[in-house]
Parts: sequence; C-alpha cells; structure tokens
Amino acid sequence: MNSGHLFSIVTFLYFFSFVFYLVYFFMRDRFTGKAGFFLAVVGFILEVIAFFMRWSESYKMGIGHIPLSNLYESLVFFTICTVGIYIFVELKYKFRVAGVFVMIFPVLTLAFAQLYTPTRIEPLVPALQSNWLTAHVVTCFLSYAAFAVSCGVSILYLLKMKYPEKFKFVPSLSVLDNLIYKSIAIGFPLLSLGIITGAAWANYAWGSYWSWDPKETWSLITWFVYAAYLHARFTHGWRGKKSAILSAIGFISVLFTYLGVNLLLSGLHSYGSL
Amino acid sequence: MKKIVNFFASLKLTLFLLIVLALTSIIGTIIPQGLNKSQYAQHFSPFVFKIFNALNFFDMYHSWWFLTLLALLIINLIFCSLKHYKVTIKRVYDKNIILTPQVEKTIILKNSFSIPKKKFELEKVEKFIKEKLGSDKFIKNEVNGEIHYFLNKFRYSNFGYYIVHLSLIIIGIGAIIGGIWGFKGMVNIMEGDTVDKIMLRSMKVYPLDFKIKCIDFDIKFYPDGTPKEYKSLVEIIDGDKKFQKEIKVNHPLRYKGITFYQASYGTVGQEVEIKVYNRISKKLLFDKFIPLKMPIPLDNSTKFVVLNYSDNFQGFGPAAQIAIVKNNMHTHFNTKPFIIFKNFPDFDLKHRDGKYYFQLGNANFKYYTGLQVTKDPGVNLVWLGCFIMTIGFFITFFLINKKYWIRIKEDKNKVNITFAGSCRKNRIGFEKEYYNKLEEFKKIFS
Ligand code: HEM
Repeated sequence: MNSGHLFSIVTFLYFFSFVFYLVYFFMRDRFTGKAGFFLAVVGFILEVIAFFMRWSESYKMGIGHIPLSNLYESLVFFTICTVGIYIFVELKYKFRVAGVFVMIFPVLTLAFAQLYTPTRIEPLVPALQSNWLTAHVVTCFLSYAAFAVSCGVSILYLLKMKYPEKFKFVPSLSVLDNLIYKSIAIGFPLLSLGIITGAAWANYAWGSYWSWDPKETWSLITWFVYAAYLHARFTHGWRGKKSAILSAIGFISVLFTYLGVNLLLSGLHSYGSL
Repeated sequence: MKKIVNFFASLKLTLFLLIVLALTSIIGTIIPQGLNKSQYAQHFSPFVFKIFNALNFFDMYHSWWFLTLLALLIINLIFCSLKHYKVTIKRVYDKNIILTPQVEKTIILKNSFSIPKKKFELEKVEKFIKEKLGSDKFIKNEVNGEIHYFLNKFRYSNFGYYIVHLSLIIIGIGAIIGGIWGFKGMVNIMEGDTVDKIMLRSMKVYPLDFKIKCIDFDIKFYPDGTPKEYKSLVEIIDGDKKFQKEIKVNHPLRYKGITFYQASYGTVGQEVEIKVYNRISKKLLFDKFIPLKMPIPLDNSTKFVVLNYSDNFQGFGPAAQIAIVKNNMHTHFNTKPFIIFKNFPDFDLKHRDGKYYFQLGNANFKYYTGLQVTKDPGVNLVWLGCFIMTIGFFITFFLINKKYWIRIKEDKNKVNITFAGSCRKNRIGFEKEYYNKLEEFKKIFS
C-alpha cells in the first residue's frame, strides 16, 4: 500500500461522510450526524498518515522533500487544513449542520486532484529548495482554509436571512456573524504571514521581495478585501448582510489567487500547469 | 483646512481606497506587464492601444495614478491614526473604574446577587480575580462603604492596530527608499573572467567598486533530467581583500549592500568530441573536438553537422544531435537528424544504417553564469515592518481587551454583589465567557 491508495480511500471516506451529513441535514437524526463526523475524523487521520507516507516515499526515491511542491500536493494539503479546521469547529461549537456545506469541498478537491493533476512525486527544482517554501505554503493554506470556513458560514448566514423558517435549526444570525468574524480574524494574520514569507522567499530566490507577479498581486487583492471587511466592521459598524457578502467576495478572491491565477493567468509560481 | 483634514482622516476614504486598489490591481494581472511597447501594439487594436498606453496599463503598478492611490492610503492612515488616538487612549486608560449607576447603564452584561454575610470573604474575591479572571492588575477602590474592583485586562491591546498601521508606514518607507536608491541589474560572467561593472534594467552601465570573478559554474541534474542545482563559484576582489563564495539559487551572495543572485547561465565556444567509425570494418576514421553547426567533411560526398548538444538529454546523460549532409549532383539534402549518447556508445551502431556510425566523447566548452544584481537599501526596513506587523496582529487579534467590574456592598446580614463585564470585540464569544465566569464566581461563596 502506498500513499496514493490511501488518498483514494480517504476520498471515499470523505464522500460517505458528506453523504451522511447530507442525510443528517434533512432527517436530523442523531445517528447519521455522528456517522458523518466519525467518517470525517477517520478520513482526516488517514489523510495525515498518507501525507507523511508520501513524504517518506519521496526520501526513498532520493528526492526527499515535504509534499507541498506542486498543484496536487497543495490541493491535498488544502483538504487536510479544511477538514482539520472543520473538525475543530464542530467539536468546539457543536455545529453539525454545517458539515454538508463544508465536506463537499474536500470531496470535490480530492477527486479533482486525483483525476486531473499529475500525482507523481517530482524532484524539487532549485528555486523550490528553500525552507521558506514550507513556511509560505503552510501559512497560505491555513489562511485559505480559515477563509473557506468564513465563506461557508457567510452563505449559511445569507440563506438563513432569506429563509428564516427553513433554517431554524441553524444557530442565530449573530452567532453566525461572530463566527465569520472569528475565522477572518484567524485567516487575515495568516494570509499576511503567507504574503510576508512569500516575499522573503522571493527575495532570496529572485532578488526582489515584490515583483507584481499575478499571484502576488492577487494575494494582495485578497488582503485588501479582507482589510476592507475588518475596517467596515470595526469602524463603520457593518454587521450582518453587508459584511457576509464582503466575506464571500473575499473568498472568491482567495479562489482566484489559488486556482484562477494558475489556470487562467501566467506567472512565476510553479503550481500552475495541469 | 479642517475639511481637508477630515477628508484625509475619514474611514470612508479608507474603504474607498482599499476597494479601488483591489479592483484596479486586477488590470495588471490580466494585461502582462512591462513588455515592449511594440509587442502590445501587435496585440491590441490601435485605438485600444492608445487608451491603454495613456492610462499606463502596460506598467500600471509603477504608474502615477496607482502610486498616488498607495500614497493616499498611507496619508489616510497617518491622518486617521492622529485623529483617533484620543479614543484609543480612553479605552486603554478607562476612567470608569467605579461601577456607578451611570456606568452600569452603559454595560449590557451585568448581574447582581446577594449572599449571606457569613459566607463572604474578601480574599476569595481577590483570589478569584487573580486566578480565574487571570490578572492581578486590578484596581481596588472604596467609595461610600462600597468596595469596587475594576480589571482592564490586556488594555494595551487597544494600541495593537496602531502597531499594525505603524508597520505599514515603515514598509512604505522601506519600499520608497528601495525605489529611489536601489537598483536591479544583470551581469554575465564567463568562467575565468572578471568583471567590475553591471548592466542595469534601464540599460545604463553601473560601475562596481570591487571586482567579481567567476571561477566555475556547474549544473547538477536529478536522474530524470530535472535540474537539481545551479552553482557558481565566484571570487570577490576588493583591493587587497579576496575571498571565494558559492552562489546558488536561494543562496545569494551579499557584499557591500549589493546582492548577487543565480539567475541564468549559458555556454559559449562549445566543442564536442565526435568519433566516426566505418560501420563494416569498425575502423576509427575521425576523432576530433568540433564546434556546433559547422559542417565537417567525411568523404567527397558526405559531411556531418552537430546540430545540438545537451548535457543531459531526457535523463540519459550527455547527447548530441547529428545530421548528415550529402552532396549529390550539385544539390544537397539532409538525412533525418539522429541522436547519439555518450553513455550508450553502441546506440548509433545498433539503431541506424549507413556507411558510418558515430560516438560521442567529451564536451569542451565554457559556461557563463548569469547573475542578477540588486541593491535595495530599504529592504531591512521592509522586514522590520513585517516583523512589527506580525506582532501587531498578535496583539489586536489574540490579546483581546476585556473589562470586568465587581461591586460589593454589605447590608445587615447579607452582601450584595454586582458583577459586570464588557468587551468591544468578539461580543458573542465574550458573552459565553462572561456567564462562565459568573457561575464560577458565584460558586466560590458556597
Ligand atoms: C491596508 C491597509 C490597512 C490594514 C492592513 C489595516 C489593518 C487594521 C487592523 C488589523 C485593525 C484592527 C481591526 C480590529 O480591531 O479587528 C485596524 C483598525 C483600524 N484601522 Fe486599519 N488598516 C489599514 C489601513 C487603514 C487606513 C488607511 C486607515 C485610516 C483611515 C485605518 C484606520 C483604522 C482604524 C481607525 C482602526 C481602529 C478600528 C477600531 O478598533 O475601532 N486603517 N486596521
């Protein structure tokens, strides 16, 4: 068994977790909710194990490096972060109904990664041989995951606002609003750290900490949007609908930074090409 | 005057600038930046080209209007911080240290209860504040027979956003210094050569006040042919001082504020050793170092050319591409080019027909290393700013300012206690914490 098999198993576990959460969303019986959560946790543990297996496999091939170096590996890491954060939120806030909204992301992401991106372990080209790579990717992806949570909750917020009857079981609007803020308050400093570590790395590798490469620029755009969110909230007292919309826009910008730039635009970043 | 100040200090301007910056920045990610004007002219219709050119869309991040927006953001930041400092100071040095009825009215989270006198001990209250509310920096007051406690926990975190904003200003200054007194350039140095000037992006020549010599350049490959390492061994010669250093990707060399980065490489004067045998007799007919692209006669009607040489062709090691040129009746035609490998000497013998077969020997050529050269006297300020920003974020987002009041008033045989708390940020989260603390507080008297 190698890490590739394990990642496929994880995809199935997440898929069934999603299915159970979906059933739970409509039937609201305790068993399916618990089963969804259980599968998510098992999948998460196996995925972390598979991550380390892939790491050690790369050493066996003589090209050892942490598996964060191409699009496939970054997508996998993104799902680890998302599911990890979701499990944390569910344990802390007992917020099982959101499961169906969150688990769909890792399922789709992993399926896409395994079907459409090269999964081979590749050696690191010289520019990627830097400790900044790890710091940069980890901070960026943790922030993306935090923003994914804030986006999921924002959607729930807008839905509940529009159809209060249908979303009675969802926590109150003010609780949701606070959760959006909290995840952005975690994501924003992490994104800033991601931009800083990226700049530090660029300075070592290319001799300039900022060169307005499309990826850099889009991360800055994202940063501006969430800065606008924070300022609107604390200084204009924007709460609720407007700020939920702003946070959803922020996540569109995150998605573009992460995927859109690689798939649609060109630049320095190697994660690109499918 | 006041109007102008208010305009520059307004938070509406902040939001406007943040959103406009986010939107306009998109342009430069769609239109490739900094190419040659003629390349754009080919790509766009003349009308569109004119408009885009007038708006500086081809180098928008250095255009006057974009830089103005950035400058406005910093000016806005400075004015705004100066205008709001009083409010912040009020939050840090909160004067409402006594829970008077007026103060009580402004607080949402507050609870009163009473307990029998014999169960009450003042030490327990102080111990509770120290251990459960987590700080011994409370203020104690006695007014009209009431005892008041006030705790302003993490009050300095109200300055947190000042630290963040200050860091942005520092980064801005660092970037400006780098833009004015810094430069970016390139230099190619042949192995064995020494240079003392570089070519700037602006095509000006910049003299260095020391010399740099390339002793050796080297590439290493992974087994699959992916490049693994580019390495230049250089020597800095500065008057009597001399030292050698390696430059690799991600490991630049810094000397006298100037940094040299491994950026590219190339070869010149390439010669490869080609051996030619007679296919039948296996006799060696030819063995020489020859330059690329130069036809070499083998017999009256046959010449060959080495079209290309690669140090590592698709993971199979050194390889050369050869074409045979035949002269027949005043016309000449090329046969299909073929490849020979140094590590597989019999490859050509086995995979091709013809009068001759070829073997590849050593290659003999000089590398030159391409170094990017930059000077950025502002870069350390930028890193300082980033460091301060990180601290500022930690303070604003994780050390949240919370306030607690406790009022104790003794009656005949019972004690009336009021517990109150407030928090400007994260209200919902604080509400939970408040009720937990309240429960714990009540418990200490039972
Ligand atoms: C991109 C630039 C900016 C960033 C990253 C930034 C960041 C921040 C952060 C992190 C906070 C703390 C938010 C919180 O309490 O949760 C803050 C607060 C604040 N910012 Fe900015 N800021 C920026 C630009 C500006 C500008 C240009 C102004 C000037 C008008 C400004 C005015 C303020 C004010 C007044 C607060 C206090 C909010 C409050 O606590 O009531 N900011 N900023």
